[in-house]
Amino acid sequence: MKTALTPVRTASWFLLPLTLVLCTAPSLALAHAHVVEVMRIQPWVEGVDPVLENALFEATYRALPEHNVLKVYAFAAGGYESAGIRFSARVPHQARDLTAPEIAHEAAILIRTAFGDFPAVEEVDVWGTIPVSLSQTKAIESTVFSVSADRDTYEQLVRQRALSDEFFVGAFGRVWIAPQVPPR
Amino acid sequence: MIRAWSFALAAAASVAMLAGPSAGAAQPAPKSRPLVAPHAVQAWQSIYDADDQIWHVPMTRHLIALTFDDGPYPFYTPLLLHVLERSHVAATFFCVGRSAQQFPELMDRIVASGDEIGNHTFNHYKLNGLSDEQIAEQIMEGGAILSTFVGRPIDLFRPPHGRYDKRVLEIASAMGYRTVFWNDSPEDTKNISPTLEVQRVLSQARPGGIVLLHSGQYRTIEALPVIIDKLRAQGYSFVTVDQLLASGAL
Repeated sequence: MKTALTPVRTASWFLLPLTLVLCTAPSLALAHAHVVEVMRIQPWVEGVDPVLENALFEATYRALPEHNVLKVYAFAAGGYESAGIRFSARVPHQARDLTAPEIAHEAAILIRTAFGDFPAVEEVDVWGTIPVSLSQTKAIESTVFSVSADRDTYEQLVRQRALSDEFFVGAFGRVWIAPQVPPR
Repeated sequence: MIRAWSFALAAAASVAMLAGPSAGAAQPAPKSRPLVAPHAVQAWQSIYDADDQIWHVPMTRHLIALTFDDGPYPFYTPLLLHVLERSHVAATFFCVGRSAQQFPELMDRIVASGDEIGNHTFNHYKLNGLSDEQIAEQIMEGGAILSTFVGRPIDLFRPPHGRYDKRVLEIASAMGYRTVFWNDSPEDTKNISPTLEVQRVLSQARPGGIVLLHSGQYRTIEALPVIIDKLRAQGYSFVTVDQLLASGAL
């Protein structure tokens, strides 16, 4: 059966898309504004997945005695959830850098917290930085420590008891400790 | 029934317009430019010119090389490797020596994944602003660190930011490097949407092409599976730059 095109029927073809556009546009704008707001007021998240990143930041920031987590990253690509945690290897409000054992201790806490509290996270990269002044107005960060931890290795390690922090962190692969990190 | 279908189609079309092409329309189209630099002649004999610079490899086979500049970066590089491994794609990573030094475990994983490593200097400075000695130092120090992960000397080089002059090319060539540029770049460092990134890569793809992407862009990680799927649908196979060069003139 053939249906004749009437002006009303023809107009209806355009009304629904128009309604969809009008209804969707403000919500998209709001979502974007929300992300911008999150980024603006919470510089400690990268902004890739702000919800997960904020939860991760809250958990890891509380876990460290010095509360020196600087920024967290989280994202899932193809079902593979990865997290990144950058912390300060310089003790806040003190003129000293963390020693190698202190760094290993903090890294171990961060890895355990991220894997323990976030079961979907498959990988956690943890790195420590110190500020490097280029001039009085410009500073950059220098990475003095890094480790990349995977969940499979973590699951094997948590079954073993009384592991030293150094052994725990070193079990994940090659670890970078810059020469300027105080050994003790 | 016809009216219901009409509504559904119209609605789908408008949703598609919102989700896809609109994102592209919001971004300026890439400026029209030649696929290869004016001074790079497209004949096979000239892909290596006097300074060993490579922009693409003329061939009829549908081979294409994905290249990733910068890094390795924590958080981003593992995600990138995961996407590539899941898609069974080998790529070429032009890594920065300083980053490689600071994230050795990530370098080990790039190498273990079967991906290729190229030299992107030690500090990622713009080389055309440096003295001859500084240029040589940047290339040499970057190569020295990166080769320790590969276990042999590295002979692929790409200048940071794509900035070069005759001196850079000559110094790299004298140090035994082949300088690799690209013919296909979505400009993924300019905060573009994954949709636009896919469109740009596909529009510039060609047999023997070299695609420039960056390691520290999560939108590139989002776009990559689509880029791979769509290029495969067009008959492309993915190879490293070295494999691409070895397949030249086929």
